[in-house]
Amino acid sequence: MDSPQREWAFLGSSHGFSVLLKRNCSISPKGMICVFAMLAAVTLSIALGFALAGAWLVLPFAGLEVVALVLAFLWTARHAADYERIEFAPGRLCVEVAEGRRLRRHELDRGALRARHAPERGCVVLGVAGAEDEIELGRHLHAEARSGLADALNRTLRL
Amino acid sequence: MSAVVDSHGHGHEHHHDHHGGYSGIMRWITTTNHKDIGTLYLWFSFIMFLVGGAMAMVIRLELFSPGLQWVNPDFFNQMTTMHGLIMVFGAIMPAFVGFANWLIPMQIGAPDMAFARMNNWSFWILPFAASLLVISFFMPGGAPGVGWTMYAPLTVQMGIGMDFTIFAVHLLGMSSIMGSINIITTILNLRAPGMTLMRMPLFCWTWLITAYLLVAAMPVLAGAVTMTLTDRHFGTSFFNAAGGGDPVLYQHIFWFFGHPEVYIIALPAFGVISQVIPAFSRKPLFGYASMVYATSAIAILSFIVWAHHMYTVGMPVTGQLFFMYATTLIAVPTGVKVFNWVATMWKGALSFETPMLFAIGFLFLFTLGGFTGLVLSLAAVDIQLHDTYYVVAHFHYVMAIGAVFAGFAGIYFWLPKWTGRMYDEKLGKWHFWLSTIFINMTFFVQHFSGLAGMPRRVPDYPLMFETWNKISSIGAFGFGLSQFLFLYIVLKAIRSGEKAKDKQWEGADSLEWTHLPSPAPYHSFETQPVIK
Repeated sequence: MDSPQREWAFLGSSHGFSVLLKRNCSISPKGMICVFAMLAAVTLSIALGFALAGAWLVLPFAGLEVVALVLAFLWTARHAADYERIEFAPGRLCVEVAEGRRLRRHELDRGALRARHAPERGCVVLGVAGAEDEIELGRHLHAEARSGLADALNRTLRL
Repeated sequence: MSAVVDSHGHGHEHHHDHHGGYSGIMRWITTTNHKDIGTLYLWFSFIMFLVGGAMAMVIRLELFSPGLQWVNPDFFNQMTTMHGLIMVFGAIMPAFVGFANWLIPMQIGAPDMAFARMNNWSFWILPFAASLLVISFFMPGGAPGVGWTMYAPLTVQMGIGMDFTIFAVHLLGMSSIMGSINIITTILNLRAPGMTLMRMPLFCWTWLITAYLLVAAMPVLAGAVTMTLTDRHFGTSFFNAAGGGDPVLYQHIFWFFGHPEVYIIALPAFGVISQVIPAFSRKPLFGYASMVYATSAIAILSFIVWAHHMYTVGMPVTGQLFFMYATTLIAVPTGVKVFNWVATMWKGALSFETPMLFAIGFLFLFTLGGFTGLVLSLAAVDIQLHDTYYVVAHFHYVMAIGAVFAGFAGIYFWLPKWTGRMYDEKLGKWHFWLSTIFINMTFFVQHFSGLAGMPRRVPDYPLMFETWNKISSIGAFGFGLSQFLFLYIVLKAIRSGEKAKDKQWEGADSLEWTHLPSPAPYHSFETQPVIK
């Protein structure tokens, strides 16, 4: 799923209460592409200039460097748009988890749901006591904030 | 209600796992923590500073008197070559990468560098590269004696030590590129909310631009040394005129890397000074935006001035004019910087603790080195002074004094934040004055011997240069010994220094001083700061 649809899913919320948890990325994907294009263009132009002057062995090194840059930026961008969205609706709880290119959406009955902080798993676990199906949330939070999230979820689920 | 909770998503899992589960030497080998890696870089660079410095002592000992006294000319050449390579690639560059590792995450409100494991690799490549450089002395034929510029065709005639050096330069380049990718990604991606680019401390800006320079320049160096290697062993003739190659092409390639390299060293030094001067002037940096633009302008201009190192090689007058004007143009953005530092101090509530003394020392001495650079940029003058001690004096004022003084300023400035302990202020001032007096004794007089025509890279010289050389050598020995005082000051601070305040310097206003205790915690900014 691409970014505009993700954005629409959040903006379209009309349930009055939602929490969006996401990573902080201080540059937009478009900005990152511009930075990469500029670096690659400068490096390859310089290497091309030297190749034309007879020093063609600069070119493979410039190529290797551009590949390293691509890998680094892709690695960073892979999870740049990850998010978890929790929406409360009358009688239901909707959870949307975007991870890399995967988007999972869960609609759960609020009645028996409970959240607990699971430090050993580095997340907040949401599920029905005794049931096997569990949803892991709060991957983008530090331990203290995860504990706070579990408490807030339980309080709101009891409302 | 909706809320956006920000996190980098990395690094939080380990905050109870203080040193990644290892202790002793394994902690340092496996660490991915930016502060540990910054510390490793700084200690490594100091060790290399002593190694390169020891080579400088051999050079100055030989030059103390005319005639051949202590070493043969071949070994002398090996000393000048390795001194240059070790000081540039092993001491100064890693020192500022150490500053970058320690400070960039703390100054932008990030928990660590973007690629923490790659950061570990970037560092641990360095000791192997440095070992190769040092081991080359013990190879048949010894270390290369070609000068740090490794000009062809002399490189073809060297022994196996040359191959060790080529491999070492490759490793050092790899380390630099990995470090640069890490710094660019960290600064662009991991800034805390509200930390816009134009709010970043100038140190981060100078490093962002330096990282761009490294990415652009390093493949050129890698290509140059690889072509040297293939000329030596694989029958190519890139730089061999007998085979249809062109030795001058090597010089163009080398200096296309080499001149930006000067700014790769100088720009982070500018960044350090831009943090220190406002703190001890108790005023914000004057003309912040113009400093950013001036830094960018210097970086761009650095790519179009390389041939001013090659006036004597022979080039058309139009070429000489172009490179002369382009070089003198660099004085404009550099002048903007010097003006802004002075304007920051103007009517400030100045105090002169050791970091400020070194920053002011930098300001005077770097400006002097920049001015002699302007003299050398003039083609007609340079043809007279090329390869004389005037050039040695010039680049040591810029690179040795400029970068080293900025490094000392930075270490005294941030030591309380890094260690939580204060250094001995009185001894710090002694270190400053001894260093300043001896370094000027060493290099100022070299202007005179250069103007009188003494060539560089020679172990012997006519009697007429003896007085200047004696003064220079005494200055070098004094400067070298003064650095053991620096080592003592740092060790004393770490072991028994007074406890430092969280905000040790009243006028310091970047995040590491305003948001973090002293010493900075092992994992800083687990909860992201919001900058208003």
